[in-house]
Amino acid sequence: MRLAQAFSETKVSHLDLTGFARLPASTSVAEALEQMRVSRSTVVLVEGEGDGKLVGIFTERDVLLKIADSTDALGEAVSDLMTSNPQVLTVDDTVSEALSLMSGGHYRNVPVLSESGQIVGNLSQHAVIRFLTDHFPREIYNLPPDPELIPRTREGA
Amino acid sequence: MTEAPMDGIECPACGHENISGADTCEECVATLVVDQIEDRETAALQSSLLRLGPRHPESVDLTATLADVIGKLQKRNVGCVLVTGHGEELVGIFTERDVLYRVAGLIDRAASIPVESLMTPKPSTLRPSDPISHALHLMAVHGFRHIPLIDDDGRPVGVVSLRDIIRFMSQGVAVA
Repeated sequence: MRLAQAFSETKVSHLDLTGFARLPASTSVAEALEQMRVSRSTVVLVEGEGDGKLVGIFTERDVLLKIADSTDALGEAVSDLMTSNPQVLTVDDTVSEALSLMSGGHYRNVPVLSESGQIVGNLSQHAVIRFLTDHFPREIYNLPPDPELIPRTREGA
Repeated sequence: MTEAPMDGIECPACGHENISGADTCEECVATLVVDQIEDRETAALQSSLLRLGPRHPESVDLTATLADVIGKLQKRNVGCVLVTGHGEELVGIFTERDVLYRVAGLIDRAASIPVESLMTPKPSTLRPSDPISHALHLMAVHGFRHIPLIDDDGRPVGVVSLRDIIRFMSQGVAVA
């Protein structure tokens, strides 16, 4: 199968959308850090109180820029340090659309929502790469033909 | 009897709907022959990492402190800093992920801590002439986000990141 065709026909819901923490907006930054470490994830999808709708995203970049130098912010709510209203994908968007959104916006993570706006998962750059390596091993690992390797005589005893 | 709907071929490069059986796209002249498309995609993934335009590495030497590398990560807008030894050879890597997992909220005396104690020593590397597919493999299997590129003397000459690969996927493979 062709890569370009697979990108334009595969929906993001077929990719691995796991590997994120999901926390309410009132969670403290210290707790968010702990949850990221425990779940070995680099991204928190922050949901509104009560309705579970996405209100923001908090990533390791935020940790680097806002917390690495100072412990002052550890007691604040994660909603004070997150990026509000991030770009999102919906389950019916294709891998092609995800690629151009991630590439154009330099996003490492894009939350994926259902049609009704509920959080379904998080699409990471790694998930896109793994989709490629899992489904197209031939395209990825095939080396160009080397004439030196073609046997000059028929094989067989 | 009604006429069957025309079954056309969509051009993978520009999306133009071509008539069935066409060898090249009427709109952009890209090939529509499946074997040629597959060959071209495979060739793109076998081209060298230089095609990704790897960025010049940000690096520090072994005597640098945690505060030094965090400052570089923040100010240079990069995700990793390479650590070099006395002969400028690559000895370690320190990434944003290390800040999340090992530093933030855990360490507050960054200026007194040598980067050597928190870096990942002897990271996996590639040469600039290696194929893009090797970087894809390392990133998929080991979860790396950055792979340092080194020269014959082990000195860092570039960094390939997931972002480079994603950009290549969105432009290179699909269109080139």
